[in-house]
Amino acid sequence: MEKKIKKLFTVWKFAEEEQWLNEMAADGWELTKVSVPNYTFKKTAPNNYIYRLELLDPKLTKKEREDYIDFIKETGAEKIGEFSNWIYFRKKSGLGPFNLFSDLDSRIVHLERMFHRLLWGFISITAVLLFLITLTAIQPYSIILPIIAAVILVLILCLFGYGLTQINNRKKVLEEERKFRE
Amino acid sequence: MQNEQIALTEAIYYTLLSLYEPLHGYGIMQKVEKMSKGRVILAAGTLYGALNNLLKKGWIEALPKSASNRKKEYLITAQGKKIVEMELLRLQELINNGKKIVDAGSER
Repeated sequence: MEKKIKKLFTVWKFAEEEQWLNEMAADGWELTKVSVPNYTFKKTAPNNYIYRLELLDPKLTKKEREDYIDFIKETGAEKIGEFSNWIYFRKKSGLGPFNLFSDLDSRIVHLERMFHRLLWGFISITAVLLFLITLTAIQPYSIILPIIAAVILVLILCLFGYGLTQINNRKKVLEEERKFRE
Repeated sequence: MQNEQIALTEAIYYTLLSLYEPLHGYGIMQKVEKMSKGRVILAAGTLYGALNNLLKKGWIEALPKSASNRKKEYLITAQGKKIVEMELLRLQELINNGKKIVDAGSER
């Protein structure tokens, strides 16, 4: 039996996404295919797989990227999908615990990667909108268009600002802990 | 380098120790888990980052892939061994000082 679910997770909700996939697996729904925002699940025995998500460093070359994915595969995991630089890994739970990160440092680096990705997304969208606002503003007959564009810009500013704070807060918690332990 | 006081992370320390004989990534994970009796379990992503950093520092080297072994194997270098020896001295100092104070406290 197959089930398709449409669901959208923002960058800062990655932990929730991972948790959701693992809860689905616990209920006997294993993720077989992902092309955001579409998730395809197959009915199987419960708790068959452990799912982990990772945002790869965008600066990696194609070769380095493959090298890394191969390395993870050699540890018994498999890659079931990717979305831009997000990789979806899973491992049979019978093979033991599955984590991608085992220390605070690597978790902090992972969060920093998300922060930068979001920041760049924010900068590019803002640049495009500002360009559109100036373009519409110089047309004397239209007052509505620049106002709409400005409102959208403010909304996007709030959304991204919220997202960046969320990631930053999670990072701060880890950094506080880092002062006392590895 | 000589004066650089460094405390190795547990992941780095155990990775270096496990590479006194050639091992591939998964082998390192298994060996570290066994050495620490299951206390230290290195996650694949963290280990990969650690290996790359160790390669960059020249503390370990990647062995050329042979026909019999398609997985990349690593081995500690002379420099890496020196780092481990320095770390052992540092750890010994921590233990000695800790014991001195704690033992004195328990006698009182």
